Amino acid sequence: MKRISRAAAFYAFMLLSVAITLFPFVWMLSTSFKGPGEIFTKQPTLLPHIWTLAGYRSIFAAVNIWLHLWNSVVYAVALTVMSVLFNAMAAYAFAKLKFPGREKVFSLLLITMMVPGQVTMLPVFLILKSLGLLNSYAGLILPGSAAVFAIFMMRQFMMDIPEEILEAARIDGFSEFAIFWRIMIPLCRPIIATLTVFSFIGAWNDFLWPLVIMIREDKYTLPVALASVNGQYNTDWGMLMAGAVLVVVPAVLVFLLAQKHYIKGIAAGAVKG
Amino acid sequence: MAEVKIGNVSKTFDGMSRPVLRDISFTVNDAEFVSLLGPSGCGKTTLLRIIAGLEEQSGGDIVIAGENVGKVAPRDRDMAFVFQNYALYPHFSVKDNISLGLKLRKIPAAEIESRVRAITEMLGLEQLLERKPRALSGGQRQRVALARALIRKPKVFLLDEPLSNLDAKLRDKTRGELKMLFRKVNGTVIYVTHDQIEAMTMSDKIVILHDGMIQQIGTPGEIYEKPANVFVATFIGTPQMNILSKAQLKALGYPMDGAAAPAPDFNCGVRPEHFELASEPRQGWMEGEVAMCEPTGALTILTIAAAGTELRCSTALKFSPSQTRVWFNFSREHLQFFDPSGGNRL
Repeated sequence: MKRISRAAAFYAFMLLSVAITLFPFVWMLSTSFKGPGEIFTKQPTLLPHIWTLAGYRSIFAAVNIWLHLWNSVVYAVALTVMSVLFNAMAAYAFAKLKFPGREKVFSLLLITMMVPGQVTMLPVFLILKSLGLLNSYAGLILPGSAAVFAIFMMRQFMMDIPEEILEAARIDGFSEFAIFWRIMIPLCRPIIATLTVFSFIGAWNDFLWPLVIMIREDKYTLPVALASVNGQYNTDWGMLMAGAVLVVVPAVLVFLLAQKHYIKGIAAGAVKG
Repeated sequence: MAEVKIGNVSKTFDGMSRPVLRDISFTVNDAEFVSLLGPSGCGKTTLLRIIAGLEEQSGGDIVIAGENVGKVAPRDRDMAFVFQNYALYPHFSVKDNISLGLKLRKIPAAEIESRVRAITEMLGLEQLLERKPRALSGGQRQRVALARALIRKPKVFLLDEPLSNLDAKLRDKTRGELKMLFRKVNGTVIYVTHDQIEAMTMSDKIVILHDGMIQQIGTPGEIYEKPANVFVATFIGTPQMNILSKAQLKALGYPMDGAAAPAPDFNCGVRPEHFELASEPRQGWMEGEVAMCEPTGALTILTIAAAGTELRCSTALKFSPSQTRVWFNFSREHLQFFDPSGGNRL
């Protein structure tokens, strides 16, 4: 009896947590289908009485959604692919190759994690300006394509892959790059899935960096474009929520696709410490 | 196949002052099965890794088929290595695990196909070709690791305790199979083990290592019959050889005249199976108390306490657990003599 009541309390707590987490999303979704009259009522309603696509129509009218969606896709996909590739290579070197000063260099890299991104934002902006990379995908993507945190996570994962497998490959005749590409990368699938989700969602939701780098409106990513339609004196909440739904859906899809591997990666990282 | 010459190899790991290998020299003849035997930490696996090129020696030469391979990369040494944990590629099928080495060496596909067929038939792996290593039992993984080594037809096979992850029964069976297998392919084999039974039963020659140094090189018979020093004498043989000082021998009342002793002072060793035992007094025999009786089936191992000394002996005679006193003797010809200061054979 005691066990049942304890389980009931546990499930109640979990359900409450889920409800609290989901509520803003549900509210966003519901508001995106409400007319302006229904958004501002004394008695808020969870679901719209009258379903309308007005919000969606206005957001498509206000900004060139397809263009900004394309910009966001380029940013998120390119950043994800490049960061997984570069971070995996660096992690492999730090985890499995022997070279003088390896631990020292790695410690230095870890120390840089203590410097907030905002501190380096201006210098990086100035560097990109002098390279003529403002308003370009390259300027948007390159600075984030190697991340110390991701290198650290991958290195921890790779350190647990037995050395003998790599040695067997060396004796079998694999080149060092083939060992990385054909042995290490497939064995790192869980952690790669995790980092893919991290960097895709990070780039997809990123607001500040695209805002700083992309000055021309046709280069805006979706979140920046969405913010730009926010009027100075009034906000069309229906339109804004419709835009937010469009931003959130791809991120949720990516998470669901990678979910199975993602959880493995997180758990593995946790055990290894 | 080829001859392997190890010449004055030494190894000290970075940041360590003590060398793990000191002045190791021996030759493995073509098609010979040589075991590197020694306790944990004696440097045997390090030596094998140096021969494979996975570790660099601090000094000395590795010569394979007349070529000094000291600076040659592992993949160009034409050796195969079987790891203790097998080190199969977890994401490749059994077939790929076996054949990848050949593909990387640009062997024609038809030839690979026929070699895979031959090797998998020989090792009974035909049914498992499409499986991933995680779907195999320990014994099957071990055979896949062997197949991966055999298929390359390398000059030398290096095996690092390949049986230690198998259960006792399977290990017994596989030991014989391995010996036959390598004889069949005429393989030059260097086999690392800490298990003296494996070394004694499989090898043409045994190299005994202790503390990074070679203690003795010889056939299993030589090593058992004529151990070079006290370490080898006590390391080989179960239960281990009894080592008695001259004073202990005297205290036991063993007749040892001056002419029979090889030196004024000595330690002497006597193997447990060389004891003669009786449950009643015999003329001229020594007497002791049964401290422990361990029946193992065919043999009984007795621990005898006599004159302040513990002796271990094995006998085919049946002893009842109630027996407390025992009379024993060993003949002069079975005694081995060692220098009491250095431990070397006299």
